[in-house]
This record gives sequence, structure tokens and C-alpha cells, in this order.
Amino acid sequence: MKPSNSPCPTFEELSRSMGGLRSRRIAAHLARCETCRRTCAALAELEEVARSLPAPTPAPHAARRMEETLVAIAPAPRSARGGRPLPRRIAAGAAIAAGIAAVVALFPAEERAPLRHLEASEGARFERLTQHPAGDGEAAVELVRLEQGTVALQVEHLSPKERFVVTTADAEVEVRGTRFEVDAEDGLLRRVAVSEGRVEVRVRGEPPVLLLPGQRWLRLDPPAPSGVDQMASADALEEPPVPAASPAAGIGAMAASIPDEPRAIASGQVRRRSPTPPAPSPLEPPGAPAPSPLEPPASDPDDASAAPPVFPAEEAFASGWAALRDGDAGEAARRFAAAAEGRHDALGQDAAYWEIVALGRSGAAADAERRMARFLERHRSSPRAGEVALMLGLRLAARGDRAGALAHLRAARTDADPRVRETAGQALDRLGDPDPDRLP
Amino acid sequence: MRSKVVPFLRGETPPPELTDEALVAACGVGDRGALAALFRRHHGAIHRFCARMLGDDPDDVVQSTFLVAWEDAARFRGQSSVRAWLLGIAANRARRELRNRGNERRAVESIRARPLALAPDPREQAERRQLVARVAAGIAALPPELRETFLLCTIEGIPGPEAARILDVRPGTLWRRLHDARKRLLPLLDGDEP
Repeated sequence: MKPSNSPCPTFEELSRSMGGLRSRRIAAHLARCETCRRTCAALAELEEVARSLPAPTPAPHAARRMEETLVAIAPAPRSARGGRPLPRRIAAGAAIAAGIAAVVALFPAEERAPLRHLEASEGARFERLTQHPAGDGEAAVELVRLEQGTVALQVEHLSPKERFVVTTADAEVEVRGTRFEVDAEDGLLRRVAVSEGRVEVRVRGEPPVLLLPGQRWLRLDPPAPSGVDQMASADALEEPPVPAASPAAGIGAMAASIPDEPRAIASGQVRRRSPTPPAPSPLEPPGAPAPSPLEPPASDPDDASAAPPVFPAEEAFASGWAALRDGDAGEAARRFAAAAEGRHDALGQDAAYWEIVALGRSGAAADAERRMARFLERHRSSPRAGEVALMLGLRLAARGDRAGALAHLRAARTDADPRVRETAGQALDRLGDPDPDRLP
Repeated sequence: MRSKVVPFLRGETPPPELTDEALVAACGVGDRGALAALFRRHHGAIHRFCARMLGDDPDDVVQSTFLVAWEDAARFRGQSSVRAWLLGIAANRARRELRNRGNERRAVESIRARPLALAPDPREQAERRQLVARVAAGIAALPPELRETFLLCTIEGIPGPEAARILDVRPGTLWRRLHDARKRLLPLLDGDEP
């Protein structure tokens, strides 16, 4: 115990004693020193006043806009850009090369010269990419990858070494100095309208169409879910539907993202037809040009003869998709479950897979996890097994079950899909896999 | 050859049970949904801190904070809370922004002009208004390194050792800055003008 006439603590000692454990010496001193007590009281008051300062808060719409911008412009994380084992880099490169066949990098919008103006409709989802030339003779490509909504673009005249392309999952729209609008829904091209210049529209499986000023290209019949043949083609990798917890979606997005379309269903394709033409774009100016002769004729929605027969499980599968598109993920999960009930064929596997996605999207993460485990028990040889193993691995990692996560992520690392392998590898790196070469 | 295909944000929030650390881990493997979720959870605190550091529209710094966090997510080792880590990034970005601006008059004026919290009694209200105005102006007038330390430790409640780590200074330096800031602000309680 210090003598009662010990000197007062310094201001620094008193300041440091605020808000934390106070030493016995200072506590004892404060009990008898009015001056130091006043200093401590003033420090406490200062803290209280500082904490009561009005908190500047961002406007909700501004925050929302910033969030969308942030997600659109965030470049590939550093961990994904270097330090991976060579085989994964090659696999990742091959996957992307199948899609865009060159070097792709993200840059801020202001660094790009040819695109002079881009206006997006409310809620439009798109991203901008720059594809640098791989060799001297190749052109640099500016890409706008559009998934949803409408973008109106004005592009400067391009030099022979520049290209500007808008892509969707199923099409490319290439320009050479023009003003035009592109509309997409669920990743698929819906409409192109040209105001100036020339635009070439290349839809997968269809001959290219050249649009002149005043002409439009419209899709009146939404494409059916892609089939086995498409899944097997190299094009299927071009703009892949991103599963809920696919490589790219990761831990946090199990409920945050759903694939755009089923990649395959079993026998009997369920073809949807649009009962009405697409709604006009919110950016469409009054007096927009009349449909050109190039627009495809509208399909007859009542033409039932063209539709293939529909079986109960397929009907349940299709209705599950309709519910998912309507945003009712819970109902979608129930319908997919009905479609999967008692089936071990491709349709049953797909339905079980989409049930997992729907459950994840509805927020029923625990149920989704159980379905993932069941999927892997029942459909071990399914083409989707790797994706499901990845989903489950990421989920277990998020829950802190490292051993379980490692087992499933190792399984996912052997999947046929390079994107699944890549993200499983990244996740294993993050988890510090002690035996990266170990097979599941 | 460098390439990356990225998913689009769907807008839904990831399951609520995901921790901040899980979201950062997901960001580390390129999950933009996790980035959005992280932004939604923390942009309020980051915006508040940046606005107090800079004094006016902090949007650019807030956005760059999350972009840096996104890029560095794979290197996050959990040595501090995610919130403290983000605040540390924000402090660095704000410091850089202040250096670029070259003067801080706008910060002082902006903080002075903000509406003030009121106490219930009219007389107390007036006194309180003046006190808060003085402290707000005093904080805005602090040198940036003292201001960021005071904001982090006092207003954001980041523990000293954690604040030292995220600001990349020695604990002794942090304490000295905090004491200096308090020393400069204390006279404002007695009616001194900053």
C-alpha cells in the first residue's frame, strides 16, 4: 500500500484507467483525491458527450445504390488471382477460355474509352469487363455482361483494334459505334433496339442478325430449360448458371443466389411459352421504332400440339420452377420435393438439387443442409454431386465443422466441372487443408 | 492470362446465422453475395466513422473501404473483430483522402453544421447543444491521427490493443494519441472554444 501522501497519477495514467481495469493504486488514490476524481469525471463526461454526437447515417437508397455498385465493380479477390497450384490455374483458365476465350480483367468504368454512355434500368444487373488482346493481331474487347434488365448504351466509333460486345447467357450483341438498348431476363437476351449505327445479334443456335437504325430484335418465346445436349457442349460453360453454392457463390450466398435455369432435366423437356410479348423496356422512348421485319413471328400460346406430353413429376418440377421464379422459394421447395419423391433418375436428381437451392433461398439453411447430405447418399454418381458436396462443404465450414467441410470439399475438388474444382480448392486453401493431395 | 467469371448478386441476404468471419471467408473465395451482406451489416458504422473523419460526403471512402476489404478478405486472420478490421481500413482510406484534400476546413465546418442531440429540459437543452457543438467542433479540429484514434477508441468502442493493431501503430503510440486527444478536448467541457 502506498503512503497516503503519494503523488497524484499522471493524466496519462488516469486517462488510461478510463473504461478498463483500474489499478489498485489508482483506485485507492481516487478514493482520497478530489482533484483526480474530478479529472476522471470530466473524462467520463467527455466520453459520454462524444458518444452522443449525432450519427451521420447514409440515405437508404444511397446505401442500396452503393451496395449494387460495389458488387458490380469488385474485382477478383487477390486469393483468386495468384498463389494457386498450377493445375487449378489451368483448370480455371480453361473454364473461362471456353466462355470468353481471352484475358478478362475488371477495371473502373472511367478507364474505358469506347463506351461513352451507359444507362441502366432500375434493378438491372450487369457488369463490365475488359478483355485484353492475347496477341498483337487481336482486338481488345469491351464487354458488358447483362443478366437482368435493360441497358442503354452509346458507344464511340471503335478503332479496328477495339470491339464492344454485350453478352447474355445465350447471345452476343456486337457493335461498331452506335446507340442501342439491350434487354435481358434471367440472363437471356430479350430485346435489342438500335437507334444509330449497326449491331450484330448472335444468338446461340441461330444465324447472326444485322440490325440497322430503327430495327429491333425481340424474343417472343422464352427458351426452354437447356437439355442434356446443351449441358454437354462447350457452350454450356460460356455463361454458366451459377448454382446457389456453386464455386462462385460460396458460403454466404447459399440462399443468396439461384441458378438461372436447370441445366438438364430428364426425359420430356418442359417447354414454357410466353403468353404475351415482352413488356416494353422502361428505357424505351416514346415513339420507339416499329418492329422490324427481322423480328421473329410471335408464337401461338394456344398451340398445344407443339408441346410434348407432361408427366406428374415433370409437372411438379415445372411448377417448382414457376414458384421459384415468382419468388416463393418455400413453395418451390415443396414442389421440387414432390417431383423428386421416389425417383432416382435424372429428373429425380435435378428435382432434389433444386429443392436444396429453393430451401437455401427460403432461408431454411438447416433443412437445405440435411437435403444435401441425403442427396449425396442417394445420388452419389449424379453429375450434380460435386456441386452439392461443395455446397455442403462450404456450409459446414461456415458452421465451424472443419473435418466435415474438408471431406466434402475434397470430394468436390474431383468434380468434372472446373469451376467446382477451383472453388473447392480455394476453400480448402482457406481452411488450411493439411493434406491437399488427399483424395476423399 | 488472367480471367474471372463472377456471379451476379441476387439481392437476398445470406442465412442470418452466418458470422462476420464466415462472410469474410466467403468474400475471400469471391462470393459477392457475402460482400453485399457484409456491406449491409457494417456500412452504417463505416459511414459514421468516415463522415466524422472527413466531415462531408464520405461515400467514396466508404466504398473503397469495402473494396479493399474484399480484396484483402483472404488475408483476414481474425486477429481483430471484423468490425474493427473494417474500421481500420476505413481509417487508412480516410487518412489518405485527407492527405489528398490538403485541408480540413470543410470537415470542421460540416461537423459544426450538423443537427445536435437535445436534452429534455429547455435550459439544459441549450447548454447541452452548446456543449455538443463545442465537442463536435473540437473533434473535427483534432489532427487526423488524434481524431481517428479518439473516434475508434471512444466513439466506436474499439479496445486499445485492437485499435493499435488495425491502425498499425504501437500500443504506446495509440495511448499517447488518445491522451493527447482527450487533453485537447477536456477544456471544451468547461466552456472553452476549440
